[in-house]
Amino acid sequence: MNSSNHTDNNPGPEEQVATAFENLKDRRADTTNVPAAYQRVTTTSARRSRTILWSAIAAGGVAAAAIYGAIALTGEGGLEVTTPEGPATQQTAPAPVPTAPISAPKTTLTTTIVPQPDPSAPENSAVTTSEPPPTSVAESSSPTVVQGLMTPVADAISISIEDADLGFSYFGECSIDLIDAVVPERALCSQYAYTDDYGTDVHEYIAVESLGFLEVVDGRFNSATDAASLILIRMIDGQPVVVGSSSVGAWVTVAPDGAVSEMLLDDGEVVWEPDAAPLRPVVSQDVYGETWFGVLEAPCSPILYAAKFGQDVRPIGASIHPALDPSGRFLASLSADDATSCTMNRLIVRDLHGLAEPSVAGTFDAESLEWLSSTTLQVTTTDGAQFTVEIGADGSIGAIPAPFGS
Amino acid sequence: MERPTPTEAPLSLAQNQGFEDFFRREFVGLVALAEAVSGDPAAAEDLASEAMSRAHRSWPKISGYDKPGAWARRVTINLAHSRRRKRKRRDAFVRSHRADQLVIAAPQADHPVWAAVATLPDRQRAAIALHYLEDLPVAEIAHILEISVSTATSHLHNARTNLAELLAEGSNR
Repeated sequence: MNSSNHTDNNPGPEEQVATAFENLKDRRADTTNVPAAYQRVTTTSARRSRTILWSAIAAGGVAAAAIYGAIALTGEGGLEVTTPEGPATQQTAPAPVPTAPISAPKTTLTTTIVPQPDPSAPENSAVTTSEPPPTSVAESSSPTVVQGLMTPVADAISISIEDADLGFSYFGECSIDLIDAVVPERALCSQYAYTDDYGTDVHEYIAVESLGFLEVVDGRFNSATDAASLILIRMIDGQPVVVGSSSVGAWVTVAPDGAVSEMLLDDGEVVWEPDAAPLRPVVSQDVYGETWFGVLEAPCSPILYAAKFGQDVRPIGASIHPALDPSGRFLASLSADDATSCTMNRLIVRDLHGLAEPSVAGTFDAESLEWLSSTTLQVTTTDGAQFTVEIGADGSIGAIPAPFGS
Repeated sequence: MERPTPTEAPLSLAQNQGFEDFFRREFVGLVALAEAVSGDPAAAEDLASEAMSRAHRSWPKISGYDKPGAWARRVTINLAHSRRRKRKRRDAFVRSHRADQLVIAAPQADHPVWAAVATLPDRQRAAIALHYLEDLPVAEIAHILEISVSTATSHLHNARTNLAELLAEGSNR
């Protein structure tokens, strides 16, 4: 940004931005009543309890099928969903004081699925599903508490989360219009989570709908500390089942064949859509039949996210040109030493199952990576040159031939 | 950064004094940060208050951090992001279901800089706000946003480039 040609009367962008932020600071310093705010904060803080009321309301179009549940967070990271007696009564349940260290290792997630409202009732006439019995599912490991509560089939779902004690509410409405869902696998549902007493956004709640095959992963990387909040719910036999949660936010829509049809980052920004080239997703089933994916945030913004559905999502870091080996075990990528130049000159191969992350420096500016086999990686440089490197069983990278290797 | 454990016991006199000093030192900055990141002047003080409320409840722990202010900034940014998401989703919901009730206004949209800032992705907006409001080094911005230094550098670079382009477009109209 060159600001030297601008005069005071015609400031350049840099000056405009700096001035706007400076004015903001000054304005806030002039107008903020700090003593009053302090009083308010300390009073509110003392009153506050951990009681959280969750209510989930299924309502859609002309239909208003409603269910409510009170969810108590347990110290061990479990979750209890209490089925209400009636369809239109909010219930609260004070959450027990956590008894386990918050930084404890991964905990178990338990979700109870609430039965649907009676579809034969006149007000629920648009709800067309049968009435399954309550189902308890203990699934997966999760670093935090998650919940799932919804009607298996409804025209739309609305979820609200309220802090009954303070009287404020968070609302996360979402709508899945099954009738208009021409492309069902893209029927993402909105969501919302609240930030817990630990200053951490932990519960990106989930809303999922399915026509029998849709999977929606929801969550985000939005942690004041070290929270995790990716949640995957699958519709299994018409029932929502929480199968895992992860630590970096993303919305992912997955087709039955494992292809990612859409992915969004935690801030709602579309990271990749099928037609949104040149972002480069990689999707692969690993040797265990589990789906991995990686996606770049932007062509020259070297941030790669990789995820294994139902278990872990993590930022890989400064990487680009990701490529999974045929077995889905190793993710090869290139890292830029200089983020602004986008010159990719460090080859990294990561074992996605948690082993070592070796890397070897080079001096090439790569155009693409291609696995010729599970042990051979071919690098094509921007000037068209190609070389191959051998990858060891432990992810180690063999020698990069001259003149590319350092 | 370790997750703080909320305290149930009242703060001691010394802890109270420590929190009050912290509050007086940081609150205005958090309000400005909340406004810049959320894009909503009306909500800024609430967001900063909420962050401070959490700091208060966990003060015995947070006060032991090297930089409790960094923790408060991160919480403020998270809350601001959450608010934007919530608004976005509500707007989308209203747009699709209650078009007649649709009232969507970007609170700062009448100012070209803030209108441009509002278009930035969350992390770019947070990075640029920390840069301009707090004059923090990139390493500190990276610490607050829980990203690597190179990623923070990238976000800052992209944010400044985007803002320059947006403002140049605006002035050429």
